[in-house]
Amino acid sequence: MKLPILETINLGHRFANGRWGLKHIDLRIDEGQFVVIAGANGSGKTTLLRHFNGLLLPTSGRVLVDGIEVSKDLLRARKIVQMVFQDTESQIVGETVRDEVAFGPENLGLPRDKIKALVDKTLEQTGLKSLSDTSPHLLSGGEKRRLTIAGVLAMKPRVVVLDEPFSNLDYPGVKMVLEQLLCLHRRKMTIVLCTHELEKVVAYAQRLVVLSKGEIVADGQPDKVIGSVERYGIHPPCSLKCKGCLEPWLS
Amino acid sequence: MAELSIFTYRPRPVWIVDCDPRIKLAALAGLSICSLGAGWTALALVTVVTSILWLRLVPSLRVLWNQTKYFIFLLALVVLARGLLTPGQVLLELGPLDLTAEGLAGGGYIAWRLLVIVWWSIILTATTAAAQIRSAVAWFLRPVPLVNEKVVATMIGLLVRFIPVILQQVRETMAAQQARAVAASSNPFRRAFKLILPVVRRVFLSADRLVWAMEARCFTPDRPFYHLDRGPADWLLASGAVVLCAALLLS
Ligand SMILES: Nc1ncnc2c1ncn2[C@@H]1O[C@H](COP(=O)(O)OP(=O)(O)OP(=O)(O)O)[C@@H](O)[C@H]1O
Ligand SMILES: [Mg+2]
Repeated sequence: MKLPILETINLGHRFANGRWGLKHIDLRIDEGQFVVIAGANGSGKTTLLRHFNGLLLPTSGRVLVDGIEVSKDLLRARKIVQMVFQDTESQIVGETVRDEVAFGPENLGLPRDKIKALVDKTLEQTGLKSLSDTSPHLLSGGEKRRLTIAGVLAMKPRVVVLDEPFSNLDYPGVKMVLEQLLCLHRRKMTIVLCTHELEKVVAYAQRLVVLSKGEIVADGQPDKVIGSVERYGIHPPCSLKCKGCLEPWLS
Repeated sequence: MAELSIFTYRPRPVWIVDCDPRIKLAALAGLSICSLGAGWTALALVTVVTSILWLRLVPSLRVLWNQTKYFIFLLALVVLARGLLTPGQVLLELGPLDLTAEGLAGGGYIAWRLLVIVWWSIILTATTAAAQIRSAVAWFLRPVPLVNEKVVATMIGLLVRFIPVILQQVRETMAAQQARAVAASSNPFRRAFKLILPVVRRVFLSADRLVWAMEARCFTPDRPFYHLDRGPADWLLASGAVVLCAALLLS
C-alpha cells in the first residue's frame, strides 16, 4: 500500500497555559486528495494545520509527512507542505508582490534565472502579473489572498494546506480562489482546507473531517458525514436542506 | 493598511530609487559624519538640496507635516531645553531659568542638523527595498573578520522592514484608544503609558507571526543577495554626495 502523504498518530497538543488544543487525532491523508476539515470557532483547526508543517510540534503522538516524522526534518516537511494562513496580513513578508512570491524559492537556494522564471509563471497563473511591482499592503483583500496562494505555489509543494481561505472575500474573490484550488486538485496536488463555511467547498471535497473541542468527531465522504455537522456548531449547506443533496457552489 | 507611511519603501518614479544601495548607504554615512561640524551656510545649502529631493518624494507638504509632526515637536523641545540651560544674553526670564539667545542658536543648530540627518535616512528607507539594504550591508561587512555578514544583514533587513509595522501599530492603537475616549485624559504621561503597553504587545505579536510566515517558507539567512550593479544615476548621487560633504567640511 502507498504511504499516505500526511499522517497523524494519536496526536495531542497542549498549549503553554496547560490547555489541550488537540487530543487523540488520527488521520491519514492520501496524495491527491481534497480534504475539508470543518469545525466551529476554537475547535482546533488552525492548531491541527500548524502541525503539518512543523510550526507547532506535538505534545504527544506523531505527525508524519510522506512517511517521515515532521520533527525529524522540519525543512523537508515544509518543502512538501505549504500553508496559506488564516490571516493574510501576517503571511506577507515581501515588499512588493514580486518579492513576496520570490521569497520562498530564494530560500530554497534556486539559481537566479530559475527563480525569475518560476515567479513569472506563478504571477501569470494567479492573475497578479500586472501588480508585480505594487506594495502588497495596497492590494485588496482578494488580491492579498491570491498573493499568499501565489507565494505558496512558487514553492512547488505537494500539499497545500489552507486555513479559512474564503474569509473576508466577496463573491468574485471566493470564485477565483475556489477555481484556483480546483485547478490544483486536477493537477493531483493534495489539498487540505479548513473552514466553518462548508457551503462553498464541500461539494468538491472527497472527504470531510469534523473537529470539535480538539477531537475528530466525524470523518468520511462528505455526503455521509454532512448530516451530522449541525450538532457540532457548523451550518450545513442550504442545498442539503432544500434539495437533500450537495450542490457545487460554482455554477 | 489604508494609509501607508512615507517611510515605507515602494517603487517610486524618482531616479534615486534606481541607485546602487551601497552608494546610498555610503552617502548617508558620509553626509551624517561631515555635517557634525558644519557651518550655517553649508547646512543651508545641504537643506535646500535635500528639500528638492524631498519634494519629489512626498505628495504634499501636509502629508510631510502629518507624518513628522511628533518628531518636529521633539526637536522644538531640544531647542527650548538648550535655550534654557545655556548661559548668555537673557531674552526672557522664566522663573529660575533664563532663555538665552546663545542657547536658542545652539539648540536650533543641533535640531536643524538632526532634522537633516533624519530626512536623509527617510529618503534612504523610502527609496530602497529592505532586500537592497540587506545586500549593501552584507557587502560592506564582508571584509570584517569574525562577523557573519549574512546574519547581521538579515537582522538589519528585518529591522528596516519592521519600522513601518511599528508605526502602523502605534497609529492603530491610538485610533482604537481615541475611539474609546482615552484621549480625554489630559495627562500626557498617562496617555503615553497607556499607549506603550498595547503597542509593545502588538509589535511582539506581529514579530511572532512574521517569524512563522518566514519559517513556513523555509527561511534561511543564506538567501541570495540582491544583484548589485551601478548605472549613471549612481555617478550623479556619488558626485553630489561628495560635493555636499566637501562643502560641509570646508565651511
Ligand atoms: N497559544 C495558545 N495558548 C492557549 N490556548 C490557545 C492558543 N492558541 C489557541 N488556543 C486555544 O485553542 C483552541 C483552538 O484554537 P484554534 O486556533 O486551533 O481554533 P480554530 O478552530 O482555528 O478557530 P477559528 O475558527 O476561530 O480560527 C481555542 O480555544 C484557542 O483559544
Ligand atoms: Mg483558525
